[in-house]
Amino acid sequence: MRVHIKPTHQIQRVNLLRNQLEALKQKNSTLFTIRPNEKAWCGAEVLKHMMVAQEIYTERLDGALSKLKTINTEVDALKTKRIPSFLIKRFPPIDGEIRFKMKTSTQFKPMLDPSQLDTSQVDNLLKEMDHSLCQLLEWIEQTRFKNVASIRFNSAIGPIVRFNASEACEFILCHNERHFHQLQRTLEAVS
Amino acid sequence: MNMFGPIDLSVETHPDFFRDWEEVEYKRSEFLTEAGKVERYFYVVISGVQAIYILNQQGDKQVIGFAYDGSFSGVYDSFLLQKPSHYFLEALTPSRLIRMTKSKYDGLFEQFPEFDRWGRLVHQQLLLGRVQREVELITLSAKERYQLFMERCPPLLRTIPQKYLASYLNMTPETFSRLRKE
Repeated sequence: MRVHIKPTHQIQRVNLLRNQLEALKQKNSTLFTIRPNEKAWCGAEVLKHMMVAQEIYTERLDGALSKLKTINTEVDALKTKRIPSFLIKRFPPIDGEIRFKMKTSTQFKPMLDPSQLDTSQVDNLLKEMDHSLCQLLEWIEQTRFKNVASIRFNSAIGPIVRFNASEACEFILCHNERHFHQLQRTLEAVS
Repeated sequence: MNMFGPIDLSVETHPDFFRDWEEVEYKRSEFLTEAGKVERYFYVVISGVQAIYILNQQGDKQVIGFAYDGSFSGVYDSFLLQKPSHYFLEALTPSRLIRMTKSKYDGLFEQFPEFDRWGRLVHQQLLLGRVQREVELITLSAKERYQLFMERCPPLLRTIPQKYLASYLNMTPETFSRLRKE
């Protein structure tokens, strides 16, 4: 089944992530620098990974949104194409569990050394994450009144998957939902 | 029109009341409040229509109510509790409102005991309105709900997109359209 994208629903989900982030800011910053095991990322690395993955889309989304025609009527729902839908559906947690394990390619890896991180750097990462979520909100808000179907661009994995602006926002959001879930689990494990 | 019914308001007796409002404007489709954010204001509508709705599990809008010229607006439970809203409040037409922050709203009750009487009446109206709507949704047919709504609704509400009215009446836009043509 293909994903139906609803901008209002996306806004609600981003706000939920922002509220989760606000709650995470109350935690001891040191917890974000501890890896639960040798192979797993620490909280700071998870945050950095989300930002790196979103950053790749900044230029593509800004470019597409500036060229797209504005429409008078709000877009209530948009059906995704088959291939983007296949990719998007694999990301968010389902019933509180991450079903599809994925390997992170080098370009998305957070280049951080947790042992070198101090609390102010962690606080900055948390602030930057909030900024990223606000940027995502702005993109989604724009897609409410754009005919997004007319422009497609390559996803971060290349031309094999091409997104329109709404699909890209949905992908980023699902990716963030997946990693906020990971972040919560990581912090619980090291607390 | 005095929205604060039982209180005899004047600049001389209630100077803070008149000073504490801020006038704001919203474009069509702009959100006054988003689900997940805390409602910071209590609003009075000068002109325009706003819909308050919740998203169901599929992410579709389920309209709970409308605010329009001369009525109160805002996500009241989020405002009172200062907790994230479950609802969206969206301007369906260009809207002009006045608004007051929570601390100033609370200050009215502390400063002027007569606002307690106003508050009691407003909460009574809210409660009775919600119960009446719930009963109508359970007991009336779609046609009866449509007819009753059309008898009662202010003309301004007839100008908003039908899908919002249909959702408020818990029927599909197709049913709403069919009933309108009958």
